[in-house]
Amino acid sequence: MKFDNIIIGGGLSGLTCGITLAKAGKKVAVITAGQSTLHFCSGSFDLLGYDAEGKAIENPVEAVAQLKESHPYKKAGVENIASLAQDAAAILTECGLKLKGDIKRNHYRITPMGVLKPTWLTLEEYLTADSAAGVAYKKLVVANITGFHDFPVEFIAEGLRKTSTEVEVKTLSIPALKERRCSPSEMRSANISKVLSTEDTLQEIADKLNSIANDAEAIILPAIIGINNDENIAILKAKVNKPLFVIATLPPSVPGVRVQKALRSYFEKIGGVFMMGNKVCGGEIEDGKVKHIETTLLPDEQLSADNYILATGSFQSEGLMSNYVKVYEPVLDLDVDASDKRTEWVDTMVYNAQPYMEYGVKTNNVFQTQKNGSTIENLYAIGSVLSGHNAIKQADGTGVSMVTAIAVAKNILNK
Amino acid sequence: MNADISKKHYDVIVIGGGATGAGTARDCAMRGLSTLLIERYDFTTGATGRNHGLLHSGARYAVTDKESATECIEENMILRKVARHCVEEHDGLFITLPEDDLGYQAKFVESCLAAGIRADIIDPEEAKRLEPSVNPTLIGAVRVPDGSIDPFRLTISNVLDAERHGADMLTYHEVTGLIIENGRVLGVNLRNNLTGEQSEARADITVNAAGIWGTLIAKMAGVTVNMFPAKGSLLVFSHRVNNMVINRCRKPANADILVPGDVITVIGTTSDRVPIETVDDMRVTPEEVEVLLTEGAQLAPALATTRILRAYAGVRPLVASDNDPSGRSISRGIVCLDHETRDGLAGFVTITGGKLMTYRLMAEIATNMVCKKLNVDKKCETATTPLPGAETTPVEKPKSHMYAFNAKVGRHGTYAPSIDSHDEIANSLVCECEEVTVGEVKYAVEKQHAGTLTQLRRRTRMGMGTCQGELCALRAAGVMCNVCKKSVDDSAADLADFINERWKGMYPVGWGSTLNEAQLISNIYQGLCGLDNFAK
Repeated sequence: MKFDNIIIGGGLSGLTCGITLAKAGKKVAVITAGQSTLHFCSGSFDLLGYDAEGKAIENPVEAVAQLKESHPYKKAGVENIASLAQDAAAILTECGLKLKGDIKRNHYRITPMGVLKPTWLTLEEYLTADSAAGVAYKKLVVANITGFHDFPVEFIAEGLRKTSTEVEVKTLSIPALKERRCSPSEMRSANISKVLSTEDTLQEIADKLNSIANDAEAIILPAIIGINNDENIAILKAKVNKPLFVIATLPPSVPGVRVQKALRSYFEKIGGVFMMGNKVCGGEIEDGKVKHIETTLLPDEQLSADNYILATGSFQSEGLMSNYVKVYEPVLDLDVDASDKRTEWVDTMVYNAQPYMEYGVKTNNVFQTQKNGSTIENLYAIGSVLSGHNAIKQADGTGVSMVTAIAVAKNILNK
Repeated sequence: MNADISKKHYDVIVIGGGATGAGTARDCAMRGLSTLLIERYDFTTGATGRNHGLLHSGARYAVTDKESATECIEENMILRKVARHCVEEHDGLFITLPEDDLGYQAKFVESCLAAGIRADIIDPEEAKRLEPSVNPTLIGAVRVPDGSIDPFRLTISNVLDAERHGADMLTYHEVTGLIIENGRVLGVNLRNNLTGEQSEARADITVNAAGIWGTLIAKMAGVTVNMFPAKGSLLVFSHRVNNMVINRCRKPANADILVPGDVITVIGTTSDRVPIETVDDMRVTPEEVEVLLTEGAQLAPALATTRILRAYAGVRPLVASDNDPSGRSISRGIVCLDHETRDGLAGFVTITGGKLMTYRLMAEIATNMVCKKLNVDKKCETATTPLPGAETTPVEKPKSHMYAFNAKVGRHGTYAPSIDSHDEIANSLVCECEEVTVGEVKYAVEKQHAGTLTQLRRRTRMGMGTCQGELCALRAAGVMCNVCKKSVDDSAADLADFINERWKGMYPVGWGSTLNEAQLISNIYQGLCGLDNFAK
C-alpha cells in the first residue's frame, strides 16, 4: 500500500498533522495502536502556561522567546508560533469543536482539585476564569452525581471559594443512574455519559438542576455530558434556566473522547485513512530514508510513503520505552535524547522536575529524526515523543502536539 | 491528647505500635491489666510494615538456628488458627538449582524434621506442576508449610482486640523521655507529633517494644541495649507471579525468598548493617535492586520481565548478646530484658529481637514478665483465642450488594458484615484494584484509627494494587474530607504526601512500565489536577 504520508500514532498530534496534510490533497494514513492521551484531557488546550520559575504566563506567544533552545517551539521558530497556533485552533473549529480563548492572553481552567491553571483554548461548555483572581460568578451551585467519586466536589468547591465565589454543593441522581450504581464499577464518567444521552434522562437531570439552583448565578456539573458530540450539552442547556458549565473529572475525560472522535471523523471525511488497533512493528531504512514499514495487523503488506511522521507519544503512550539499561524508541529504534545513567532519569522528590519528562527522540531543526547519528530525511517526529521540554511544569503539552504537527505538515507540503 | 489518658495511672505502658507492641498490649489487656499503647506515628510504620509478609515455616532457620526454627513452626501453626483472616496457607518450596549443592537437601530435611517442620522431598517435575513459575532448571525441591501473612491486618486485629479489652491507644505520640524517680521508671514524657503538644503518661511498668528504635528508648532510660540495625530491601511485583513461596535450598543468603501475597509477589531481602541515625529514612539503592532482580530471576525466571511496582526497605532489630558488645554473636532470637535485675532500673522491660513470626510469643514473654512484676496470676490465652475477624463463626453472605464482599471478608474476616453496605453509596468503589468501598473507608477511619491516606492504605490496601493510587487516592481523599471532617487543604496536603510516598517506592525501580505508569500518575495529579500546588 502506498501513501503520500504515513503517520504513526493517532492522538492529538498525529490527527492534527494528518488533517493538515489531507486538506492539502495528500493521501494520508494514520496508524494507531490504541486510545490516545486525549482520554486524560482537561477540556483545555495549553500553549504555554508557566515560565521556568513556575510563574503563570500571561501572554504565551510573547513568552515563547524566553524558552530554552531545546524546546520544540524554538525549533518551529519563535516568529511562527502565533500563526501555527492559529492554524491549530482553526483545525479544531473545522472539526466542529466550540472553543474559547485568546492566543495573546491565557485564561484559566479549573482543575478537578479546584486549582486554577493558565491555558490557551477551552471547550465552550467549561467554566473558566479570565484571571487567577477567579470566575465571573459570585454564587455557584456545584452539582455532582450521587456516588460519582471521580469528581471530588469538596476540592472544587473549596478552590472556587478561595477566589471569593460562594459555592453550594449538591448531589443529584435519577432512576436510570441508580440502576447503574448497583454495579459500583459502572460509576465512571463514560458510563454515566451514555446514560445521560437521551431526551428523557436529560429532562430529568434538568428538572433536578432547576430545583436545586435557588439563587445561584450559574450551575456547575462534572464534564459527563456529550461523549459523541455536543448536541446533548445544547439540549441540557436549553432545559436549564440558569447558565450551565462543566468542570473536568478524573479520567476518562468525556469531552476528551469527543475531541478524539471529532478529529478522527473530520480526518476521515476529508479522505484520510485511519487504521485503528494496528501497530507499526518495524520498517526498513536505507540510504537515510524509510523505505517502508510493517504492521502487526497487515503482516503481508508493506506500507510505504514519501514521508513518515512519528507521533507515538511519550512513555505513558509507549512512544518511548525504557529498560534496565537505556531509554529507547520502540518502533524504529531512533536516536533519543536521554541520559545513559538510569539513576539520572528520576528525581527522588516527585514534585521536582523529573528529568525523564524531557526525554524524547532526537530531531534537527525541521524535526527530522536520526538513527545511529544519521538523519532520516523522510521521517519526522511530532508531539510528546519529542525531547526538550517538560509538559507538566510548563503546561505546553497540547500546544507542542499541535504546533509541531502543523509545522512538520507545512514543511512536507513545501518540500 | 485525650485528657483522661494523662490523668489515668496505668498498670502498663507499651511503647511501639508494631506487631510486637500491639500483641503485647493485647496480651496485657486480656490479662486484665489497664494498658496504654503509645506509637510515634501510625501503627505498622516500622519493620512490621516493611518485610516479606512471610508466614515462616521455620525451614529457613532449621539448619543454622534450631531454636528459631522451632519457635517459627509453633507460631506458624498458632497463627493459622488465631489469625486465619491474615494468613494464606499455600505452602512453600525450597528448590535446589544446578549450581547449588544437592547434598544440602538431606541435611535440610533432617534439620526440619528435628525442629518439627513438615518437609517433603518432591520430584522436580512435581514441583513444576505445583508451581509453574518456578525455575525449570531445578534439580531438587522440598515442600514445607510456609505461607504468607498480612502484617498490617495482623497488627490492627491486635489493636482492635486490645481496645475491646479496655486498652487505650495513642498514635502520633513520641516518647521524648522516661520519667524516672528513685531508680524506677514511672512513665513517659510525650510529644504529639501532629500538634507538638507535650504531655506525659504514667504506669507501674513500661514495656519498650519499639523495634530498632528500642535502642534509643533504652538510652533515654540510661541503660544500654546493644542493637545492630540491619537493613533489608525488597521489591514488589505487579501481579501474583507464584502461588507458593519459593526459597533456595542453601544457607540463607540475599534475595532468596519469593512470597506471594494478595495480588502481588515480593522478593527479598538484602541484609546490610546501617547506622542507627539513618533508620528513619530507608531508601533502596540501585545496587540492592540489582541483587534482588538477579537473584529473584533465579527463583522464578518470569520476574525478569514482570513489572516492578515498587521497592521498600525495613530495619531488623538485631540484638547483640550482653557479653558481646562487638556484635559478633548477633541473635535473631527473642530477647526480653528485665532492666531491674540487669541494670537496677525498676518498672522497665525491653522486648526485642525476634521476628514478625514470633510477635505473639514475644508478647507472651513480655506480658509474663509484666504480670510477675505486678503479681498478677493470669495465664496467657493468645495462643488459643482468635483475633477479631478470625473467629470460627461463619460469615453470613449479604442478600444483595455482593460487590467487594469477598475482599472485605479477606481483609476483615468475621468483622466484614459490620462494614456499612446498606446502600449503593456505601458500596461504591473507591479503589477498583483492591475493591475498597466507601463503607470500608468509613470503617477504617472510625474503627481502625485511619486518619490519612497512607494509614487508609495500610488498613485496606487502597492504592497498593497495580495502579499505585492512580485514581483511587484522589477519590479516597474526597471521601475522607467528609468522613474525617478534615479540611480540604489538609486533605489535599495529605494526598500530596501520599503521592510522594508512593514515588519513594517507585523511583528506585523507575524504568520500563513503572516509569510509564509514573508519568501517567504525574500527568493526572500534577498536570490535570494541579496537586503540586498543595505540596509542602
